[in-house]
Amino acid sequence: MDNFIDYYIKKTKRYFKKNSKARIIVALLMIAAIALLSVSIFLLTRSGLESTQIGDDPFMPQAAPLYIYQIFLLIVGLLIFASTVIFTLFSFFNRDNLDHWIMATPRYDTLSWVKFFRALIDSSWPLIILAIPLLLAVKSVFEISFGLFLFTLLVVVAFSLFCSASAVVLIFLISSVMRKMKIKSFSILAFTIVAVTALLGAVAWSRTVAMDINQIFQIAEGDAATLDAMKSNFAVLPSHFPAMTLHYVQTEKIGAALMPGGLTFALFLAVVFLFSIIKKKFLYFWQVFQEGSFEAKAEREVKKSPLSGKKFPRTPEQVIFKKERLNSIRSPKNIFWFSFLFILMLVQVGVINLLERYVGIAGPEAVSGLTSAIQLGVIIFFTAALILRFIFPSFSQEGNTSWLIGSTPIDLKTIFNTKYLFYCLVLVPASILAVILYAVPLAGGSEALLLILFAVVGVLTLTMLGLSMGVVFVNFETDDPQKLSTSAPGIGFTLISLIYGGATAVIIDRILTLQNPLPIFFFLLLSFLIYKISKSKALRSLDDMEFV
Amino acid sequence: MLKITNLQKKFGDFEAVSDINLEVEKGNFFSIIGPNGSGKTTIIKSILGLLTPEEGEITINGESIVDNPIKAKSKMGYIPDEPKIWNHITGEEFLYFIGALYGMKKEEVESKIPKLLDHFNLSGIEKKYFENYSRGNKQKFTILGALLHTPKLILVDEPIVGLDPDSAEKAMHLLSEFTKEGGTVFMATHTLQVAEEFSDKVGILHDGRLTETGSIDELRKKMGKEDASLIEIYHNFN
Repeated sequence: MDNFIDYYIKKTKRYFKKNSKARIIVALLMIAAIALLSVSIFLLTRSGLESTQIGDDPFMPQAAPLYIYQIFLLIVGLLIFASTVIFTLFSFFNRDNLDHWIMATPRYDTLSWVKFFRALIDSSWPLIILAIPLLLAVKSVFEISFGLFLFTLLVVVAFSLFCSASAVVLIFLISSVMRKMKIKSFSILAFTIVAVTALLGAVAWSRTVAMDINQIFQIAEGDAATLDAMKSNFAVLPSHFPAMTLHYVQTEKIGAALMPGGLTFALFLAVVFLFSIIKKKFLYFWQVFQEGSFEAKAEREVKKSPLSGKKFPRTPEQVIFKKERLNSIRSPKNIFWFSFLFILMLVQVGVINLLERYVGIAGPEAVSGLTSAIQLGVIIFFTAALILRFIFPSFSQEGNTSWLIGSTPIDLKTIFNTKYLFYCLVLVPASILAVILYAVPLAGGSEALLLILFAVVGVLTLTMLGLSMGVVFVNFETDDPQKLSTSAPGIGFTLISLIYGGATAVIIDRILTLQNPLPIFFFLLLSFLIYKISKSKALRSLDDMEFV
Repeated sequence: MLKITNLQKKFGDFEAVSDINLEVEKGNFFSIIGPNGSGKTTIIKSILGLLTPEEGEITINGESIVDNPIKAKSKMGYIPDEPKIWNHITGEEFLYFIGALYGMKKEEVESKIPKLLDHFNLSGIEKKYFENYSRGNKQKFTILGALLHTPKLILVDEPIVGLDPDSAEKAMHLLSEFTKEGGTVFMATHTLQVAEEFSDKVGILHDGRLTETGSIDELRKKMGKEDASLIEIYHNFN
């Protein structure tokens, strides 16, 4: 294990030795982007928690924060679980950099622990962006001591690790069953995992969105105002334990907090114990994956060429469009990431809706315009995340095949325009769907068209910005989307998108609140300028592009 | 068919190739030989329009690659040294894509593919994804892709790297047949035996400059040794 830790430390040091200034700037920009998000979440949750403490009713100041903890931690858990599923499927058994480790180390099972811890660490981002800001907000609003804050932090960290470890164990368990049944199909593995994840999502859904909020809060006349209904509603979910810990700490019932806190630790340790048993099969799984019959590089045949029939491309645009389509839908990794980010967007928007439902219950007037604005901002933000993962790296990813696109009689501008069209056709409907599902019902039908217009313009603008920045800062040295999207230009794109998304939310809020249409023109002008400037820069870069 | 005049290409301050002048006639098999880093790939990439030269002019059948790249590229086929293709495309689809990019009709592509696949016994694996092919099979598909649209000029960068001996021989014979039917081949290689066996003319490149060009017999005469092998010629002019 020491060797592996040493390896990762040296690897990190080596990373900063080359182009150290640029890489330090990238690291700082990443920290800034994460800090910006965390601070926003902190401010949002703090103001939410503060609003629960207003009024004379003694019940709501306890019930409402508990509801927020339950929803928030449930989302954190689901995000960590989904993130680990993706990591485990595509990195745990990755051949890159592993061959020599598997061959060289006499105790190859150490590698399974290393990968296990990496899965836990790599998937812990919701802890930093969502959970810790929530804890800080709780500390700030309820003035809990540093020691108790530390205790809640440890419990929430244990909960995060439990969610992550559960995902790894789940994949190992499914693989183990498949092994016994002599099934080696990656599709079956992926399908089963998606089905199990969907089942977990359905349980979460049944306990949140599908629940009558009046029943949870025991609003009905004659009901005694207790937390029992809420507790029994969320008790089946593992997020209930850290949520209850927070609740007891907030209400100064420290002794009571020990039980759910301890249970959270116990859950984590149980899953780790399970992993320590099941990991013995790691080498077998790894070998099967390397045979190419199980993992992402499964040997597959296309029975019928999709180029047959009327679909045979006749123009360069059609060829590139078809290529983009086939490469996208046939890459399990791309499909997983797209679904993951898209579902994440829906979940995030759903959470705001759930909180908005509480606002309606708790007393303050429902500020539907503001909620719609925040929803639109969230949709634009997640669209930007999709753009960063898929569109920003797309030109750089052509580096390996640059000989093909560069040597055939096709204009690079045609490729650029076709890529833009392709990605817009995917993202525009996705964003419209998100707006219709969530923002429109809140703002009412009259504002529907306006919100959809903003979403579509936002997507068209950011897609052009992402694609253009990918061309201007093209990097043919790697085709790894993770490396490309965490480069300085990638983070630059993230920051511009955050500012643009924030500005869009503010503008729509002004329009809906003040009933003043003037900001629409400002938004359209801003979007047009971003679109025009980025496109012209990209086309100029294409003129000078070389495929070294 | 191919004319290069005063070609110069720099990467920053480094002069990769300079003062390159050569002409390859229709139906000729021209090989450019030289050590690693001598500028072979840079010349090929400049001909293809993948790199933009600082100076000089390159024309393919009279079309300038800088002024009229689409027309010039439509006359060329390319076999790269690294056969990297989009991972989730099958070998068969790759050939269809190439056909479509060069404006071929579907029926035309359909009728040619079985014959092309037979050259390398690839029938039966053409519906698998590129990521599942061995390096050699990937290379075979790129060779077929270059031949599919019957270009006037084929540029080849190390054609037989990664191929088994039988396939290497077949590949070279396919290119040789191509020149006999009126096509032109411009090949960069380290494998001097191959260059000697198939080339009508060779160019010797050293430090980005052409030190000699001509048929092997002409170079032997210049060297003053009638029975000199290409290896001896290469060492003499390098």
